[in-house]
Parts: sequence; structure tokens; C-alpha cells
Amino acid sequence: MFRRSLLSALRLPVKVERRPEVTPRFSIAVTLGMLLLAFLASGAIFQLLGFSALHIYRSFFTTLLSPIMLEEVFRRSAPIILSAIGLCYSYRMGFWNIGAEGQLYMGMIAATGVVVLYSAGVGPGDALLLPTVVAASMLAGGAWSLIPAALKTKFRANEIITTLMLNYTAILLADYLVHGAWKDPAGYGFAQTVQFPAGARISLPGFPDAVAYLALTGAVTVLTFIVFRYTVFGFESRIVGLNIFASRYAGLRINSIILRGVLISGALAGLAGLIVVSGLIGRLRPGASPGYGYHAIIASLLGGLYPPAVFFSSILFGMLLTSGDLLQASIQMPKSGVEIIMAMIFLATIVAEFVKRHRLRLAGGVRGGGAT
Amino acid sequence: MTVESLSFLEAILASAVSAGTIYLIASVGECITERAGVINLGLEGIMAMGAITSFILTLAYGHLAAILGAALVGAVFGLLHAFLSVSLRLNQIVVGLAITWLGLGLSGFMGAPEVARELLKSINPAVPAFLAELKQAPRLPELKIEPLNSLPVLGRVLFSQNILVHAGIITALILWFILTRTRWGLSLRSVGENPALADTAGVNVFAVRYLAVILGSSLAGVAGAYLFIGYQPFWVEDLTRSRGFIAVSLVILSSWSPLRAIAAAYLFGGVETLQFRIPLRGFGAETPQLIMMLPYVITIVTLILISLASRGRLPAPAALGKPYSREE
Repeated sequence: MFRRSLLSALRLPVKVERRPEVTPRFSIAVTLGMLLLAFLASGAIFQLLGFSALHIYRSFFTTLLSPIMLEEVFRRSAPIILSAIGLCYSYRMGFWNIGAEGQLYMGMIAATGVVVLYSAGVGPGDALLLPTVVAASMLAGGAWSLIPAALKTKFRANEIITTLMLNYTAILLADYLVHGAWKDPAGYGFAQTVQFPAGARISLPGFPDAVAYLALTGAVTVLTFIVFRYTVFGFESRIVGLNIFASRYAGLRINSIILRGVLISGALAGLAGLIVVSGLIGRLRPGASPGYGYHAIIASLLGGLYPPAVFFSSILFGMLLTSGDLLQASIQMPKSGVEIIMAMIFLATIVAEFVKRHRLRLAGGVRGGGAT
Repeated sequence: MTVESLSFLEAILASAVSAGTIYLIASVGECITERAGVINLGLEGIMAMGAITSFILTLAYGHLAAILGAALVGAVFGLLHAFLSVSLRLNQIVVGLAITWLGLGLSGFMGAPEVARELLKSINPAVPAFLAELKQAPRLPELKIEPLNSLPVLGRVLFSQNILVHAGIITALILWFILTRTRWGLSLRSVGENPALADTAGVNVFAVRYLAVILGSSLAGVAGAYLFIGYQPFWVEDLTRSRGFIAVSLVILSSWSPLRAIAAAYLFGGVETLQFRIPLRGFGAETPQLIMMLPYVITIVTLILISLASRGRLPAPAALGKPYSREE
């Protein structure tokens, strides 16, 4: 008796059914509606903790109003876009790569290593410097991501745990290097490396950095869209994600597909690291990334792993980070404030999945508690 | 054995138990949650929430309020997890990550001096609010259990610790007993192995899963409280440093048994204390980062070793991670 009544208390008072089909327009509407809810909910939290919600909303939209702010938004979105597009390759196959942050750090470390050698007079000449740092950062990010991929395919080690552990390892490695061997001797004792020379930066002559980054990230987005939609690899990776057992029976070489997809994820996160270290801050120092690799996780899920949508949801995160800086300067709001908004967006994203696939119907005269 | 090396051994074991208790409380709870078929990756964020709650409540009303408050906050986060993962049947991995994110963001925000000050002021106006800006709280007192504390080795390792260390062991034993020797435990395990069958047999799958997630989460909250007031009573951003995720992997190492979780947790407590012991011997004294990698690297190595030992067939609950729905 106790069991039954408890059961009906835990059930929703309405009947939930699966929705037969989900149109793209409906799906976008639900996501936008949930985003709005996320903003309202985080506003309520801030209000409770003593910060004006209205002020926070206003500063969020001012990031779009001036060209300087907009430039900052696009600069900060760039590493998120690259990592998030990269994560789509992993997530499509059901590989829960939480390690973009670590892969991004390895990209920063490798690129910085090249620059440290270059400023010591060793290594590539001026003309080859940019190709070398690009290759180094992508290789390092890719190699770092291959570790959890190999552990998954060889030992079935849980990739969520391994990628997270490797994040900390990479961050500590960067810390170790900037405090030790790579510390800039002319840096007044600060834990930072030498500055990146202009030749090691991604840029379009005559344009601001933001434009160069938009071009690069836009190209990567379009390319990924094509890979997912029109190539054999894109098709196979989707099948592996949908049903790993069926694809094994179908004779797909699952391990090789997983390794390739995760490698691309890592390489793109590594490239994101290059942008951070060469363009956004100009050198490697502790805490160089405020968590771009983590923001990318939410951005890719919010965009439903659909590259154009992921592009725009990453820009939303760029806006959040920029407005977070504004708020810190204007009303001394702690930096982790934007993390709360991001968490709410994350929750909204996953609840949106449910809302899209189901519809509610009032349960009229369905069995009540008294029947038993 | 000389007296000196004996006391060195004592010191190492004592600090292994002290650090291991963080993992023990959290992973025992996660054992229960996972045996009911739900994986809770929100542990990391819930621990952080437990820690910040204990920080502010210790200043406001003392240790007991802090521990209870942390458990309550953990339970609330667990309720949210259960609603999303059990009622809405959303992907447990994504739900857990979102909970972790919320916990880390919220606790980081609440721990910032200007916010912590206001919180303390509104919770207990009688306490000077600037205390929260010092980022410190009194540590849990050591409980010297007479006369056991004069035993060699064990006296210092087990009987001169604070109360949460003992509570951790006792909780593990009780939960092990309930899980393996009682009807409740049988119901819970059946929900994790074959929920449809359990449902047919009259077990309320939804209620069991809700309770298992809430219990595990409130223990994670207490683990966070222990981390702060029992282990390191100084607030820093990212206080938990992935310990919640390590606790999740310790559940695999202890093959889903609360009893073996005790050994696994103390083992990792030992690894954690190596970080402080090795630099004392001269290696990495100036740049300890390489040694700080140890817990993370050893976690990965452990996962590989478990896989080799079990030949890829882990004794995980059969329905772990799978949402249950009644075909209506």
C-alpha cells in the first residue's frame, strides 16, 4: 500500500507521450524557449545572492553593441568554436570526450615549445614558423586525445574519467613548464614564457584578428558540415554512435573509426590552444584557458552536434565570457558568475531534449491512489 | 623496527586515512547509487557544494549544522539529478555533468569573499561577517578515543582522528550490511540488475532509484564538508580538484562493494599524501606539479589494471546507466 501511494506521488500528474515526429522548426523553438528560461533562472539566482539581474542581462547585450566589444566576443569565441566542432566528431560516435580542455592545453604547450626554441635561435626559420606551430599544436592535441581513445578501445577504460584525469595532467604540465624550464628570463620573475612573435600568429593582413578567426572557424565549421553529411567517414561515425552492436555486425572497423574521430577532436582542440596562446594572451602562463574546452562541451550539445548551430552557440559562450569580464569590472561580480549561467544553459539543453521528444496530455480519470 | 621508522609509518598511515575519508564517504554513496542502476557524475559538483555549505555554516552555527547542511544541500542536488535521470529519463552522463557544472559554478560564486560575506550576514547576523572573507573556518576537533588511542600504530591511525573519519567507516559497514544482507538491499540490487523484473515483483523502481540517488548525493555533500572542515579548512577556488570523479572511478576499483570501497579509498588517500611526502624528501620541492599529477595518473593506471584483471568483464550492475520506463 505504502509502495503504491509513494509511486503515484512520484509520477507526474499528467500523461507524457512520445511525440511522433520532431520538425526542425519546433526543435529550434524549444531550444530557444529553454534558453530564455535558463536566463530567467540564473537571473533569479543572482538576485537571491545579492546582484541585480537586470544589470547582468543588460551587460550581456551590450557586448553586441560596440565594434570593440563585438571583436572581443569573436576573439574569445574562436577557441570555443574549434573545440566544440571538434567535440562533435567524438560525441557523434558516443565517445564522451570531456578532455578538450587538456587537449587545448597540450596544443598551447607544443606551440609554445616551438616558439621557445625559435627565440633561442634553434628550429624553424621565419617563413616556416607559422606552419610549424600549427602542426605542432594540432599534433599534440591529437596525440593527447589518442590516449583515452586507445584506452577505451583496448581496455574499455571509461573515457569520461580518463579524459578528465588527462585534463588535470596537461594543466599541471603547463604549470610545471612555465614555472621551470620555459620561464622567460626577462620576465621579471613572473611565471610566463616569452611572447609569441608576430610570425607565429594566425592573422589576415589588413584585418583585425577577429575577422581572421571568424574565417578560420567558419571554414572548419563548413568543412565539418560536409564531412558529416557527404563522406563515408561521416556516415560510419554516425552509425557507430547510433548502434555500436549493429555496426559491429555490419562489419565496420569500429576501433579505427573511433580513433580517427577522437584524433580530429583533439587536433581541433590543439589548434584552439594555439589561438589562445598566440592570439588571445600572447604567451603561455598558468591558467591560460578559463575553461574554453569545458565551455565547448555545452556549446556542442546546445547546438545538437549540428555544425552551423554549434558555431552560433559557441558565440553565445563568447558573449557570456566577455560580459563576465565587464561585470567583474563594473559591479565586482565574481568570475564564476558566468559559470552559473552556463550551468543553467546546460540544464536547459538537456531538458529541451526531453521536451522536444514528448508532449503532455492531462491524465483524465487515470488510475488514482485509492484503487489499490 | 626502530621507534623513528614506526612513527614515520604511523604518520603516513594516519594521513592516508585522513585523506582517504574524502574518497570513502563519496564513493560509498556512489556504490549505492550505482547498485540501483544510476551513475551519478554530479559527485564533483555536489562535493564542492558540500564544502562551501560547510564553510559558511561552520562560521554561522558550528560544525554540526555544517555537516547536516552539507548533507541537505547534497540531497537537494540529488533530487534534481533523480528528477532528470529517473523521471525524465535523460542521459545520466549528461545530467551528471550538468549537475557538476552547476555545483562548481555555484560554489565558486558563493566562495568569493564579497558573496560569502553577504551570505554569512544573512544566515546569522550575530556573527561578524568579515570572518567569511578570511576564507577559513575552525577544523573539526580530533577525537581521542580513550584508551584505544594509546594502541601502537592503530591508536594514531584510527583513534586520534575526527568524528567524520569514524562516521565514514561506520557508514560503509552499515551500507554494506544493508546492501548484502537485508531485503531492502536485495530490492535495491534487483533494481540495478533487472528493473523490469523487480517491477513485476512489486518493487517500486522509481522510488528506489530516487532514494539511492538522494542518499549517494547527500553523502557526497558530507564528503565535501569533510574535505573542508575535516581536511583542509581553507577555501580556494576548485577545492575539490576532480576528487569527485576519482571517487566515481574508485567504485569500479572496489567492484561496487561498500566494504572494498574502504580499502580503495584509503589506498588513494595514501596516493594523495605522497604529494606532500615526496617533496619533503627533496624531489620536486620547488616545482611540485609533476608530483601533483600522481592521483590523476594513478587513477588511469588503475582503470587499465582493473580491465586487465577482469579481462574486460567488470561486475557492473547490468542496468547501470539505463533509464527505466514502464511500457504503458
